[in-house]
Amino acid sequence: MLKKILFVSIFNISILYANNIDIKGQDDNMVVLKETAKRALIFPMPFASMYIAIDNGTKNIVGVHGSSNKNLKTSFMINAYPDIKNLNTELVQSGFTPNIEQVLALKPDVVFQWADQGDHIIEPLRKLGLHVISVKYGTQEYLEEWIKIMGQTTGNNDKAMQILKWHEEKKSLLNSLTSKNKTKPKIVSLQTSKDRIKIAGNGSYDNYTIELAGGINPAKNDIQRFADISKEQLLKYNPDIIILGTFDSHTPDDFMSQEIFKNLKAVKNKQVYKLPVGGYRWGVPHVEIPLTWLWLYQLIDGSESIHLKKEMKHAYKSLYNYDISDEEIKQILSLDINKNTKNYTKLLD
Amino acid sequence: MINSKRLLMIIIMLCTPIIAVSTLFFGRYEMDYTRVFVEFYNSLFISDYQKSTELIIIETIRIPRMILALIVGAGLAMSGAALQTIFKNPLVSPQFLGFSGGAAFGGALAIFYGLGTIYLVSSAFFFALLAIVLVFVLSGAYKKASILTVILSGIVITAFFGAATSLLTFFADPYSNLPAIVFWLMGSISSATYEKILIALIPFLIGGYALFAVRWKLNLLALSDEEAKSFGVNPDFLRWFVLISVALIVSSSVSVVGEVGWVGLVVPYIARILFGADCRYIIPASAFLGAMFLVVVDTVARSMTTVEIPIGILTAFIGSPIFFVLLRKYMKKGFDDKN
Repeated sequence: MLKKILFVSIFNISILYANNIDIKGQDDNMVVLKETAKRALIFPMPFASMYIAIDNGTKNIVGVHGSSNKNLKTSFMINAYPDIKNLNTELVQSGFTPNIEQVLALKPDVVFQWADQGDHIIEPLRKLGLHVISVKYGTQEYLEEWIKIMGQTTGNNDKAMQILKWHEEKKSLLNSLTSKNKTKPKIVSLQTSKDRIKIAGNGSYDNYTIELAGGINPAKNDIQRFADISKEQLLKYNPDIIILGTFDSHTPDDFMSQEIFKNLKAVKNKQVYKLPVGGYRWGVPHVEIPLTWLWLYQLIDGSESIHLKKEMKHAYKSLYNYDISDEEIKQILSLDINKNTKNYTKLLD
Repeated sequence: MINSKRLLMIIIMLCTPIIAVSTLFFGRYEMDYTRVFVEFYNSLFISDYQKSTELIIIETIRIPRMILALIVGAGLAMSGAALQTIFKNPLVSPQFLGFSGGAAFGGALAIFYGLGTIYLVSSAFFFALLAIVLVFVLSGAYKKASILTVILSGIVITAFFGAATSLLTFFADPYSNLPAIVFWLMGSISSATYEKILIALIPFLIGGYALFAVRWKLNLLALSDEEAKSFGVNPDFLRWFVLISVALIVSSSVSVVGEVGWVGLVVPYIARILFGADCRYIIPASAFLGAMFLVVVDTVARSMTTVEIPIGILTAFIGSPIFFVLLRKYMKKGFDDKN
């Protein structure tokens, strides 16, 4: 009899824990979910559209960052997932500091939060017993982990694996395409806000994209991640290609019309490009990022070894199950502001 | 004694342009200066001249930065000198009286709403003036307030605008507006243009001339108010005259380069060590020394490392050890004198 009771209780306990999902956050904290997340709360801005892609919709999301929501509502995403208009954004509009009572009111079963912006944005949530999965920003490895984690929390591991496989394929494709190139163009990635010029250096995701697409980053040896540089320093780097970030409204025409930069190689060749914005900003680690690599490669190369438009149609279908229109592609690629730059219209061939 | 002070003054006056021009030879971009000079000469006489990158750098980066640093440095230093005199306290600087805080808030507000340079400058100027009006009202200055009340009111207003600025940075978009606000608040001459020079220059000339004109009278403020009155000077009027002139200079300089601390504190102190307590010398000497100080610091900011260092950080790093050394030396000297 005792044996039977013991067996039944062990069986029950094992059933109870068999479905548990163990997730290791990027600060090495373990989170154990009893079932896939039904009420996810998402602070990191790039995560909203990624989560929607991996979870096939917004039904399991109870709140996103106000800023990422703005992005979702002004892009094709709102057409792909009309429910986006009902997403709760009262969580936070700027910064990442949670309003604890607001968070509790949303009754989340999992919270995604940045791991590298201070404990003050995580600890108060953990103290309340919330399941906080913390994530770090900046490398392809981190991104791949994000995708795996989101596969676990949503229970859609297959889709996560399918996305990772696509990332691998495009990485290999670019490695083989660029290995033949003897000369590598100098490429810099800038964030310009007001009079400030921030440049991406070693350890930044931008640097990874530049190198993968076959370029070299002249700021790599001087700058760690991002730093401010003077206009004079930018002239000294004299890059062949300049990528402008999307966190400001500075356009390639604005940049190229500045007297001071008129002798830069990138300006003379009209190779100053504004990054596109798809489900999220293209320069940022995201499920869509292979499109950024291909975009840059095609702009450098100018050849027809890659058909970005075809790649985009395929990617958006498999990521978001959405047939993207030609007009939406033009909007994503910011054709209106990039149209005067070299090789840009070739992207639409 | 007077002759030696005059000689020193002449040396400082001569050194300022020499140092300023020599800073043009420093920068991140290496160049052949003889060629640039020849090119510059040619560009004066040939229309549609295709300028080289080197000449563009000199013309649109180094020269505007140099001029703006000279104006802001001179303005802040002479403002500090004048304030220290009217408050009879060497630790007073423009930051304590609410001008900088108000102007900083105004500028941050303009960046927050993504407005252009002209709005930024107007907004900084408006809030600097609003700050000083609030200091007037709070201290009951219209009813004749004590200097201590004015300083306390300044601190209160500075704290108020400081909190308002923090609130703006808290709500600013962490990826677009926030970096711009933070960078601007730290102070930078990197965005110098000829338009900004004009914006800083006109208030500087008006306010600077006003301070320069009353430098004789400022000496009388060292005496008691009754004694000053006996010399035919209205000390209250003089103090407010100085405050308004300073408001004009400081708000315009904060609006173009952000908050640059220490210049208004350290430089007048150095001037006082060199020239004693005589405002006839301290006011102009502070202007020249401040101009030299800031032009050198800005040259360091733009040429020392690949990364552009905000000038507000450098003035603090360079200013505080200088201040410390001078203070020690001066105290020691004072001690020796007593013995």
